[in-house]
Amino acid sequence: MNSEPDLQRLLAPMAEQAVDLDGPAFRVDRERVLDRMARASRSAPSSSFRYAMLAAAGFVIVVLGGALWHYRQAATPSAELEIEVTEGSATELHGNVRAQLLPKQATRLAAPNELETAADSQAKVGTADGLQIELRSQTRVALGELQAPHGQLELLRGAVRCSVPHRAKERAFQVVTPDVTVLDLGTVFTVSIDDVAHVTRVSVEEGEVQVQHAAGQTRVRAPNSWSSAPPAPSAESPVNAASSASPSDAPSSTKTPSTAARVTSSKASTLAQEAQLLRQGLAAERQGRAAEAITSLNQLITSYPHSPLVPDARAALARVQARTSP
Amino acid sequence: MAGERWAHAALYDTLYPIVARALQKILHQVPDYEDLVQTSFELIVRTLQKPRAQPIENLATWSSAIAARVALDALRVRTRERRYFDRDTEASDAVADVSAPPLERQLDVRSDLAWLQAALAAMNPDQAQAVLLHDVLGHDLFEVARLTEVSPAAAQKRLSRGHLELKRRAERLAKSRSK
Repeated sequence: MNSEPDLQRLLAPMAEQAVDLDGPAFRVDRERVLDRMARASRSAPSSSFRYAMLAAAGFVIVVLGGALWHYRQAATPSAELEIEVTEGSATELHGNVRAQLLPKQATRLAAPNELETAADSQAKVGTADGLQIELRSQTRVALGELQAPHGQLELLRGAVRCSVPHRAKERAFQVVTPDVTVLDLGTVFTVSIDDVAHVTRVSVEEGEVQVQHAAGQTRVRAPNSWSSAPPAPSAESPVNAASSASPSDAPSSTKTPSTAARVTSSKASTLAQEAQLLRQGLAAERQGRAAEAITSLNQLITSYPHSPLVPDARAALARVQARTSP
Repeated sequence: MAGERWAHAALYDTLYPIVARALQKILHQVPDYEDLVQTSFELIVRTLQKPRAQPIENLATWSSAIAARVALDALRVRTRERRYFDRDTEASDAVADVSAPPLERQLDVRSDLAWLQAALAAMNPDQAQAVLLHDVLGHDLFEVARLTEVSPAAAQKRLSRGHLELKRRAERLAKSRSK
């Protein structure tokens, strides 16, 4: 559907970064660096001491490795997942190979790649340590890393409701969507992707989750929800749209303080439109749709000339035009 | 001692532009920039003092690789700290963020850099290092192989797997936004 992402463009934020040797942001105290180099030079061990240290380190590694292996053997759940199609039908995917799962019957599978539910279908995935994931209708997930120590589920489409037992901190369960990572803090929560609005929504029923997104991270406590959508332009339509797009048993998004704050802010409504245009422009740029990107970015610049987003829009526009010019 | 100081100063003056280039390209502006410069030079000194099977052919490219490794480690530490440290902090401030997400920042073009840094931090470190050395710092494949002490074939494999992984992550992002 989309052209293959251009590697050069992906790496451009680093490859095209200008280097500033004397700027105030990159000021370095030369004497301090020289002091540290001197300390490093003096503390370099002699070779016999180094061999003794290596031998000691090797012994410690062997002992700790053995202990860790025993711990992992005890702590890591069975590699099998229990999958049950509770309604309709579901398919297991291994690359291009698709296998239909039997309905109303628990199936034990060793780490299937992906799982997809059909329309009006639901399925459950359970792990040996008590993690329960409910896949809603028309949902696709990647399960390849679910059994990894950190337990990661990739939500590719649709919605999942996760009920997570208490886990050790280093084995915290996370749900990854294309734009956010939801880190479980011992809870029951639902994550859904809205294909139309291109947003991820997180609704917390119990406990608390941490959402890592492009702007940083946000903790969401029950019974709140969070969305990666820009603020609503008016008090009516986007809030209602968000509510209707949420899973049926998710807390109503009107409970969310963020939503209430958003709809009461008139300034935010203009910003939402500005942001939406920038978002569209940047998305079109990333996907190589130059004409669409130019239209959105130009619209932002001409309609909202005083917007704080205009400098970014101008920069993006310059990039797109530079690429499209012969 | 004075001679050693003089040698370190000469080394620093020669290699600082190389080290700065690698750190700034990969990390851009970071509050601990000076600390990362110090770490890079400490590693350079320590590694130079170790006996080596093969001599260092090009001090500049070798230092660039060390700084790239320091930058990559910093990215990975930052990602880990975000994941674990913040969970232990008091949640009240963060919960307040829910009511007012900084939208401008969220949509800033710098999110491209944040995405790329997060993707590289999450990737296999050897593959991420190959991508950084080849595509960001401009070393050719043979230099990448020498700097990472593997065969050119192994370097090529790491690089192409790194490319595939980056594309896979970008496609996943694009897929959800374009459908």
